[in-house]
Amino acid sequence: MQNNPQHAFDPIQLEVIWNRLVTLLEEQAKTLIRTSFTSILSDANDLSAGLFNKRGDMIAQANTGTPGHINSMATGVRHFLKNVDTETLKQGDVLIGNNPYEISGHLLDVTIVTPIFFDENLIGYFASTCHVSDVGGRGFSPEGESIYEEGLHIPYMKFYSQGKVNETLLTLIRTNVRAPYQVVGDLRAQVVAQEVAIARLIETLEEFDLPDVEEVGAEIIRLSEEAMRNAIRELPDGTYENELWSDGSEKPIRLKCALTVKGDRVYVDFAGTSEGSKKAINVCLNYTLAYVNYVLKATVAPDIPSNEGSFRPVSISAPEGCVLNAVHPMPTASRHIIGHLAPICVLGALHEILPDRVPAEGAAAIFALQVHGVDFEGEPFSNVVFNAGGAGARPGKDGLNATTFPSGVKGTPVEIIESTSSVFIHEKKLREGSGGDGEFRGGLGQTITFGVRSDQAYHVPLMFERTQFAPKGFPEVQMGRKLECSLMSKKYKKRKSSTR
Amino acid sequence: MTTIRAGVDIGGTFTDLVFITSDGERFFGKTLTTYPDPSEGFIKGLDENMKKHGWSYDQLESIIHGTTLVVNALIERNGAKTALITTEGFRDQLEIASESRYDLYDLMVDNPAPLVPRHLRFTVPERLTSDGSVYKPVDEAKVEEVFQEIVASGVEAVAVCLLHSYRNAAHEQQVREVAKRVAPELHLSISSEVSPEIREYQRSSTTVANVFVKPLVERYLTQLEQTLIERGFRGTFLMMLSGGGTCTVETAIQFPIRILESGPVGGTIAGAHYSKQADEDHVLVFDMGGTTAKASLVDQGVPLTTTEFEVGRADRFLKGSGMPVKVPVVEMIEIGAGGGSIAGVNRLGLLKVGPKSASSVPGPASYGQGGTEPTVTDADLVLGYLNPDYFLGGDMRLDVEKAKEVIHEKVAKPLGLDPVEAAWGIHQVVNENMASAARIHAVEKGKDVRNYSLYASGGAGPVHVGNVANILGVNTIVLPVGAGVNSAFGFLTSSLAFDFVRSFYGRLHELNWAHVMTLVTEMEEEGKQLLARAGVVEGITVIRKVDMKYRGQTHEITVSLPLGNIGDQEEEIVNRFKDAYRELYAEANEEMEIETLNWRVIVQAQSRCYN
Repeated sequence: MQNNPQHAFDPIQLEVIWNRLVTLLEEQAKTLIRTSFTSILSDANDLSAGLFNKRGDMIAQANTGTPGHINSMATGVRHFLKNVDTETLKQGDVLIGNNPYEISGHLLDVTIVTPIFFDENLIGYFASTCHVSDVGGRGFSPEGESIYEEGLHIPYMKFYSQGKVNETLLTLIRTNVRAPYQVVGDLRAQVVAQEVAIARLIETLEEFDLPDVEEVGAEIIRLSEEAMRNAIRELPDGTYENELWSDGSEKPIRLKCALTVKGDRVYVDFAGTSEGSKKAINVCLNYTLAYVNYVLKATVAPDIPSNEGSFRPVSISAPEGCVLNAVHPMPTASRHIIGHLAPICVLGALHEILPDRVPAEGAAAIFALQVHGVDFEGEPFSNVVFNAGGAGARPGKDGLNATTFPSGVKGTPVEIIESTSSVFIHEKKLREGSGGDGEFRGGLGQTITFGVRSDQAYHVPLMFERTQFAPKGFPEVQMGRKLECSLMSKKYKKRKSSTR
Repeated sequence: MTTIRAGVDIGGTFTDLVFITSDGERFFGKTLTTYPDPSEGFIKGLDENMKKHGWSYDQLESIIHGTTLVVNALIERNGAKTALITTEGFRDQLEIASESRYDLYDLMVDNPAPLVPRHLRFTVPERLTSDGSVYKPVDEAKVEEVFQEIVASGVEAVAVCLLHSYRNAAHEQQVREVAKRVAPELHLSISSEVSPEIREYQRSSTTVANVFVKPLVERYLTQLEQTLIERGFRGTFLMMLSGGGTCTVETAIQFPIRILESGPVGGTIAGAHYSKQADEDHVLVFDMGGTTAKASLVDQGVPLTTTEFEVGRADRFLKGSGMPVKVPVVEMIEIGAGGGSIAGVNRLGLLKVGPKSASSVPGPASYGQGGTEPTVTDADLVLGYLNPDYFLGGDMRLDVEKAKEVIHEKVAKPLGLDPVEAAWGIHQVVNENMASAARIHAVEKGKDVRNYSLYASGGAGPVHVGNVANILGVNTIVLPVGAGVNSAFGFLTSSLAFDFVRSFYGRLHELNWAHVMTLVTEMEEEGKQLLARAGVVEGITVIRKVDMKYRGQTHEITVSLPLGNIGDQEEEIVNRFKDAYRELYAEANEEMEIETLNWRVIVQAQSRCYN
């Protein structure tokens, strides 16, 4: 791509402004992390932060976050704009919603969208998608059989009107969730972080004498799209297929994909994938797309910024109602189990044309250790921490031990887990030999033994994958180890603190 | 008799020396850093200058020393063979780390390998809970066995990091007692002393790093001190701390991880000294060298410090790509932008500068040593910022034509610009990168960078400081005399200080204030005793701080505390927390409960002022 003289921005100016945008989004993410009330955001970073133009096209995003949020928010914000009358939006308004079928796949991810006003004109939006600690119902659990069991569904609506919080909604949320203190604290953190980002954006616009983000956004998107298309063009045209099996819930689930490269476009069709599950492991198409976009970019064009432009050349389809295209009222809370496997299926298809860039299969789905119950003080709690298995072996090197992939969330320190919840970890160490054999082996998984310090019954929804089908290597005879799970009985006594 | 204070800064290429006499005279010296033993250059530099000025060693009142020894040993991994002891069941906490990748899109990325390989990671039966109470006592017989195994494997140093020891150090102390009995020859560090903070991975990493360099630092400092004494030195020999103060050699040997950044910190301390002298409340120290640029903030003469630091970040200085070290460090943001940073056009057709550097070999194209990539120095030369005939005081000639040629080839042609325009673009983009790093650093701290004056340091600092100031909207720049030896001068303006931390968790409204007061007083007394041992009994300043957060948060902020009886000033403490919170995050919360974590005390001697 050569410099085009009719651009509104020269390449140097554009680079400068672009950097500023990413910088202020990083600041938004950082504020969120430091002010949040759960380790899900503060330690695991299960969040995203992005800047959107008036039409809901994502211009830029923070580097912090995980694909399931970043990319699904990227293509999900436009649903807010379809459902809210944007003409009547005012300064100080803030939108909220957690539609699981159109954004990041489950009710636990709440998206907050703040319109940006500059010189009294609506010029765009800041948004963030964050995993809250609870939404009532069955919470973060695969057990629900319809969305009506899964918790509070907040339709696209106003959270703040001209700076005033929607008290009715707030009361509804407080009344319906298990950890109201944490949930409300985190929603507030999202709102504040976006206020910080708006202040920073306005300073930037003033400094560069720009009326809005239209032109600069269009240029960023155009350049990224061109670069993405050029990168795809380097792949040989053709259709490449793969399939893999997941444990499923009532029965094993087949994921099947056909990836077609045609000129500068990629199209992934999941026809042949198993129908939706009765249980809450169904994935909405937007979340499936988010992860397909992610692995494509990571293998084909890791250096190209992620925004509307880099998404445009990629499209996917899956039969409506299949496990990768959940529709209302299918249950979805534990959608990550299958959702993290779908991109692995796509990587397998890409292996045929990019053998030197594609990793072998790994654990994929993160092990989300969710517990809810009542603690020794009699207070209800709901906590989740993420744990990683081994990542797949890579061309020319071993896979990473105990590292999340394709997810980008982090693990939570044992000391934080135990200080912020009633969970007690007895053992958390690498599982020897679990990476399989071969010249380059997969990363090691973990052995984790945990209990809950409570004198009452508590709930541990089990969200496992890979108990029946071990990860496959290249060539396929090299397998990693399957996941194993067992229950032991152990009683905890309430102890008196010795330090106070 | 005229007495002399000396500052000695050992950097990668040069060892810088600054002398200030009791008559107020100032002398600068520079000598090449020696390898593999940098103390040779240290003594050679001193000898040369003592001879030149006709001084004798007994005239030296004090020597303050900063060195990159620790950071280099960690990056090059040439410390002691080290073992790690953790709680049973958690052998791999050092390797499991944060379970994530520091770059989401680079599938070939590797996390830093742990300093202690798996076969040297041992566990012992014991367990504390998160409130510090004992869940399982230490099995001393098993601990003994572990130490026997450690000794048998030829290990020289051992780190001990047990779960929840930041709340109760008893188990780690018990393990140390066993070690004293069965393996007294081992160097040993316990995490509750090195870095008593929550998060086991960061704490292990810090403790391991500390003991990994301990034998090396002990040998180096003991020998150096011995050599100085043999030459007639009778003064005090102090080390520069990464947090800005100085400490005795004894402390440096115990906690070498705290002298990690002792070299680079000098520039900031010099900036702080200037700030006090010139009555400038806000100074941003801008330090630009060959491969990186650093920025640090100084408010009211006090550099901002942090306990979040990473050693040896991967090539793009990405967060999470280094080894975490949780000790007080002057907060410096570092980016890959220096004179040697390479410019090029990426596949989006945009001009990018750095973070790849031409280093000193082959160096910028204009050095004429075989460099074929256009660098910032080449651009500065083409733009006329550098005099080709007076580089390094005329010791080196720069080739303007060569610089123009590579800029034309690699940048100007692909972008359709002429070479001077392209050079200006390189200059601008690198300035932007540095300005944006400085700005994000400031905003992270809740500061508006426009209220700061810019203090230039380092070889390339003065060339770029003006235009960086323009971008940041800063209207004062300061170019100090002797910018080249600025760090060593900074050492001489710092003060001897000891800092302490004790964990005492609780909700503010039901806190046992009498206990807090006992802890704080204990720390203050200990500090004063240590200062007295170093000969300081007057002009002592005590600073108290506490880490606070809202209940349920896992990130805390450090708030300064009033002096006097703390228990009577709860409201004042709450207000200070809320003010600090507001400054960082726009608004404080009125309803939520506040918790306290670590109580900190710094006891420091008066610092010296020089005009």
